[in-house]
Amino acid sequence: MKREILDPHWSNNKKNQILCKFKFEDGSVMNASIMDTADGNPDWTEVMSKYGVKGVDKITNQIIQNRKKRRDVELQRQKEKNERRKNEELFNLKLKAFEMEEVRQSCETKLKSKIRRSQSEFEVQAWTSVLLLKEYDKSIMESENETKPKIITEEVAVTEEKPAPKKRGRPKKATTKKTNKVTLVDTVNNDKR
Amino acid sequence: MIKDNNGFIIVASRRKPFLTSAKFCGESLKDYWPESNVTLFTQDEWITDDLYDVFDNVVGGAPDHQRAKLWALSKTPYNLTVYLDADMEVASPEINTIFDQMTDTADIMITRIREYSGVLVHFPGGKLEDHCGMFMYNNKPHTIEFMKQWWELYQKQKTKEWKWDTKLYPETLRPWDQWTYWWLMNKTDYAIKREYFKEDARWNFVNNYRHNEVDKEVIIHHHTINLKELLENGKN
Repeated sequence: MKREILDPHWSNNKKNQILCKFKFEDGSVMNASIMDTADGNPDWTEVMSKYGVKGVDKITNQIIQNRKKRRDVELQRQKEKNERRKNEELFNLKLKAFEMEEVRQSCETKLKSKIRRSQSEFEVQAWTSVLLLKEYDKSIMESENETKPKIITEEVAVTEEKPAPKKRGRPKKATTKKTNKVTLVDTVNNDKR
Repeated sequence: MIKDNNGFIIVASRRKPFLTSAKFCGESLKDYWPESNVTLFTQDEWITDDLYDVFDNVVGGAPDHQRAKLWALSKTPYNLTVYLDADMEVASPEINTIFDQMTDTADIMITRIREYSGVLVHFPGGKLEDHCGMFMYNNKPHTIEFMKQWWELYQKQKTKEWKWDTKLYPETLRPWDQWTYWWLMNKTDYAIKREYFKEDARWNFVNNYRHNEVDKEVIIHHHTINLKELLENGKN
């Protein structure tokens, strides 16, 4: 069966072996390897007469370039895939942080923004920790305030006007009037202390 | 700039991580554009006070449905509406130019699906071209009617009440709301005028898009929520 030799290229730097394709009349294609022999290999002779050493060099360079391009594309894809995976992990970590009650309810908008814009898992964790600490401090202060005596200001009616006590020195101004603001101590909360 | 009464809508339903993510998305938008109007549509039982810290409006009554977004689209309070998937993140101050992208001739501005990115793009009867994760639409009656039909037809699609020629349109299209959209756009009179965003990948940069799709900073990132992991996080 008649066949055509396609894409002959060197398989090594010594240029003593050629890889190529045999395309047959029926359309089938077969990979082949050709080496010159002492008696003379007719396939080798055919390649040399049709393409010559320069022609095989050119095809070899083209194949090397194509392989390099494919490898570069594959590396780029792999790099993008890894980056994508990292980005998604980062995004989901941020969501996890925002699912925490303390973060969700926090009014620390600047810190929340820092978490959202974090570029690494470490950064997310660091800013989340800062926010949690702030919220913790706030909760401690709030609980301390709750246990302090509560000052209540009330309007009370005072019916009698007390005479100012006689003391030495400058006389004090009267402190009570008929209607005056008086501070009372809430003793209920004192029990917690 | 905000013209008239334009704004964004985000929808959270079905799974609680989508609410966390919707809030994240809304906050990222407000980070870059504090004056923007944002409405959240969600389920009644998920409405809490803290949502009002982020969203200008919170609308309840969303169905416990995977595609509650379709229910919400026709209920927009805005003249021009940008729909954002809950798993999106705004990443650029250029977001404030989004309403300027609307042309006089379009009813809906959308981004293209990338063939290498979509699981199902080609089918014997056609090809899915539009990415329904982010789009902008006007409030003309025929556009709103289109949005209503999208929701109604999707429900029939999901319950298999709507049957089609599976030789042309494989059964694997059934879960996708993009298929319902394609059908309404191409096979019915509801078709509305659609145009694409310029530099569309910047407006909806899906997590598996190639870097060479954009030569300027991405304006909206489209992530993927790891639902399994977040649900296992023990918060839901």
